[in-house]
Amino acid sequence: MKKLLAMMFVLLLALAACGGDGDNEEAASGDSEKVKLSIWHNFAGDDLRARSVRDMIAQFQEDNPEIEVDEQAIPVDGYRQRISTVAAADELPDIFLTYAGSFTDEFHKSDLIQPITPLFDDNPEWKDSFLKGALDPYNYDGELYSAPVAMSATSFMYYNKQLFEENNVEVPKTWDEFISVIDTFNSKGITPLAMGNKAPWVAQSTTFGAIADRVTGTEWFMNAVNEDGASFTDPVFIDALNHFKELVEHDAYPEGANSMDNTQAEQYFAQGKAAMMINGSWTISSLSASVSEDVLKNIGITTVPAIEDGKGAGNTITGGPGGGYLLSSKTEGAAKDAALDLIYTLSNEEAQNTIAESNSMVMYDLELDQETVNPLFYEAFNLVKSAEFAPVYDLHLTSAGGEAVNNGLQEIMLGGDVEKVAQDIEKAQAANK
Amino acid sequence: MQSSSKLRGLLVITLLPALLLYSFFVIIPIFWSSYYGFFEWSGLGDATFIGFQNYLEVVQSPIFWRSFKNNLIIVGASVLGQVPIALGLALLLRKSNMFQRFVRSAVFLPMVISTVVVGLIWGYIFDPELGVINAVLRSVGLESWTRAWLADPEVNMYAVAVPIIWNYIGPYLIIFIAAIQNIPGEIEEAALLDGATGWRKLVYIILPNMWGTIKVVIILCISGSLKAFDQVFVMTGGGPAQSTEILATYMYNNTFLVYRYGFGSAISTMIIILSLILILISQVLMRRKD
Amino acid sequence: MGSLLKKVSFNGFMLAIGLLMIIPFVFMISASLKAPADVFINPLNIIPDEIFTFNYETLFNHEYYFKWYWNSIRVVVLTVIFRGVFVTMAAYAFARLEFKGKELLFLLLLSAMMIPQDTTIVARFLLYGVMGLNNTQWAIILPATFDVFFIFLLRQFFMGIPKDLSEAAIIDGASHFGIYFRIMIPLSVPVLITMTLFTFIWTWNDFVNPFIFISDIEKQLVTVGLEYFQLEAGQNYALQMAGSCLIVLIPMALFAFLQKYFIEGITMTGVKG
Repeated sequence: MKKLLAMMFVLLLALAACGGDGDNEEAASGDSEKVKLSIWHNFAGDDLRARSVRDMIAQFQEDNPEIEVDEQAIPVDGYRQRISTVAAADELPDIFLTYAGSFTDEFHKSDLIQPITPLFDDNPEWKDSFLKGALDPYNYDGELYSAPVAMSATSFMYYNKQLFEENNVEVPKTWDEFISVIDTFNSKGITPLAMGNKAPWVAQSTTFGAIADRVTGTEWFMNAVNEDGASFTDPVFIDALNHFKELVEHDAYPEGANSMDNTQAEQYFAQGKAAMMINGSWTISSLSASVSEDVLKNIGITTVPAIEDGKGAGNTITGGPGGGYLLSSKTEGAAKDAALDLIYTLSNEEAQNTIAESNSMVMYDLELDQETVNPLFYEAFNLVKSAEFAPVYDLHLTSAGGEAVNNGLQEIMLGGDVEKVAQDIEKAQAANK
Repeated sequence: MQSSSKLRGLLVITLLPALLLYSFFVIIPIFWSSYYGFFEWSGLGDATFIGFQNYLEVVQSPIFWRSFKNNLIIVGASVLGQVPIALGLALLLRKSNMFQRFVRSAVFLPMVISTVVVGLIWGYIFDPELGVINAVLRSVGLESWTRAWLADPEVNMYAVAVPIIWNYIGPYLIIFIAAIQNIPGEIEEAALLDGATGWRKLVYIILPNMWGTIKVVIILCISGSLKAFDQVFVMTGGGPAQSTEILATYMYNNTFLVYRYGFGSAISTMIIILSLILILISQVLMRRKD
Repeated sequence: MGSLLKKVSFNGFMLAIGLLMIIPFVFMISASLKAPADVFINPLNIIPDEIFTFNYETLFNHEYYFKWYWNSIRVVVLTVIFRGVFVTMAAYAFARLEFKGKELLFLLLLSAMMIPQDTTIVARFLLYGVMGLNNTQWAIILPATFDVFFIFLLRQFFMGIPKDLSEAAIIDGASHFGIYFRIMIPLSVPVLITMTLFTFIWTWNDFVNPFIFISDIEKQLVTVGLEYFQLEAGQNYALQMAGSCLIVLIPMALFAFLQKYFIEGITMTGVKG
């Protein structure tokens, strides 16, 4: 017994000594001149874009041996939560990836970030090459806080060319055509629309935002967000919800869409089980990484059908500038210079090009080489450059308001009452402004 | 017997580590989070003191009570599912031959698997089109019974409870097997001499001798299922439309999705209070039977 | 003849139950041998048309997977050891030392068992920040070293050890330490094994704590590590399944080897409330 205890004790010591947590950096930092820089982002996956971004950071580290970059790649699902938690504990990294909209607003309101305007002043050509409106979400009182490294384009309509041909159906351009196409596919036993709304932002971000913008127009939405002369209980918004309800009532979605994962829905569509799918630009990269060339060639891409009697434009795509890097307000001196350098390296023309070549959308004016990118992506990028953007709902609503829309759409899919959903949304948005 | 200073020294050595850990990792966080419940706080920037508003909102929120009801469904399903199944299996698996050990291991196995995987696998099983359950129902002609098990609010709470039951039968089974082996041999022999076999032996000899164990298992089961979080979180996230929301996911979603730290903390505090009340009630009910 | 039939049908029934419990594992293994896009095609197609070992190759070449695996092992072993020490000492005090307020204190501790730990996660994050525990594996180990359930079990067991045994030892001049080391601990080896097994499995599968408290990718534990296996918008389920298959190996092996002691351990504590 004693022997066993002694052994356990030794083992314990060995394990405890064995690096503890590798936290000995501070003790070992004899060369204190090294500038330390921490950066957090969510490019943690194995997809092309994530790998390119990590490579860029590794390259930066190699080119700047006097800077010590501490990089954390955090999985997307937990990213916002992790950042908010460290922000609450006042332990934000020097540089971190943000999302455009209310998430960034919070940091600005709380004085946790500082402008990177000098970068834009020093590189005017770079500044002018961003697409129209790209910098707006990061502009607070004339100071710029970030440069978007992504475009969020959340509502493309993907369709299966073969299924449309076989059933002699035209790709719908108007709402009435859309409904009749849905009925036709249903009568042939083909699911009209794939959707994986288990994480409930999907219906809101991909489908409802586009429909609502067509019905209410963008101006009304921005007023409603600010509770400025418009409210989510207005008849025009009820009308928008009713359009979504119409899809549900025409059995556009498969049974159990609310328990299906987005990835699962993408595969469901790719396998030809559904004729159409409204989804974001991310679908292109995940499909091109997972399905064969033949399958990709059979997929067409267009905008969500227009709604003729609506107040909004008919060909908008919900989206706009995506995430960019923010600079913590606590970063000063040499670290700040290094941080600005790194932010520029990750957002300059070369970086934007690399990201685009990994089949991911950017807010930067590039001429894509048709040979190097995937054809579906090429088509989509040009579609976006010609179309107008409409706001993505949850990027503008408060987080409570966004949750209310997400849950409300699920309720409608379960047969819930439209008026009650509208009231819940209004209540949540008004209460937590 | 022993001098008081020596006793004090002993107490310090033996109890202090546990008590320190207990206060730091259990007690202080509880008070800290109930304190945050008095603030409106998005997690960033300053918190504003708002008195009992958050607590009032929690108590008045229909979703909170729905979540509580859903928690009770899980508690009920666990107590009525896990305990009888584990007890039944324990009675059947008392021998320790290779075969029975294999079955025991199989029953215990789900415990070693991580929740993410549990969620995904059961997602497969419940899938409306590809899932095993609907496939079986279709093949025996019960087409009308097929459902989107996790999406249909009429059944999804019960569907979610099944993997939770499945997950934790193992440990209770082992506890019951141990209890059966603890029944003194003389009692069983005496019973045999009296001609008690089969069901009569079960009802008159085995069960009464195990009542104490059953009580403990029920308490463990209640407190365990009040803590259920992971499985629901990965399978439905509380949705659709908050139909499978349980207290812990409601707390989590409000804190980490909606960024209402104060409100989330108020929910935490309410969960703790409700849990303690439930446990107290179950303790009292069972003590009376003694 | 009748008894043979009975036996066969009984065994058949038990086998069916065993298989029912195992089915999900079959899915897991099956999915780990499929290409990511095929995972959702037909789960009932248990044996993939084409065995796809690429997921395992990716795992074996993964920059971090085995680092995470080792981290998990280290955290779990440290937790088991610390818990063993603190819990047995506390249980001994509650079983054998007399002091004022003992019952009340014990009740207070017991009530902690009923509190869902996840509810205080934000408060704990802030607290760990103050204590400098965030982003260290100690944030997982230290809180787990305290466990009321096992203090309770061991106290039961210690109280069951006849006092004569220990009193005889005291007359022989043995101190409390002597009793603890020479009598209590050796007698409770199967109980300690039970505790080890449960602690091992719980800590091994812990998801929420490492997910929240550890941010460095190289300090992460293997369960959370699986979350890093993803595509641009969604998880790489096939790779996660392959990762899970390897994760399950260690606790499964432990259970298989320790099953005998394990049941003995619970028998000895005689859980009786």
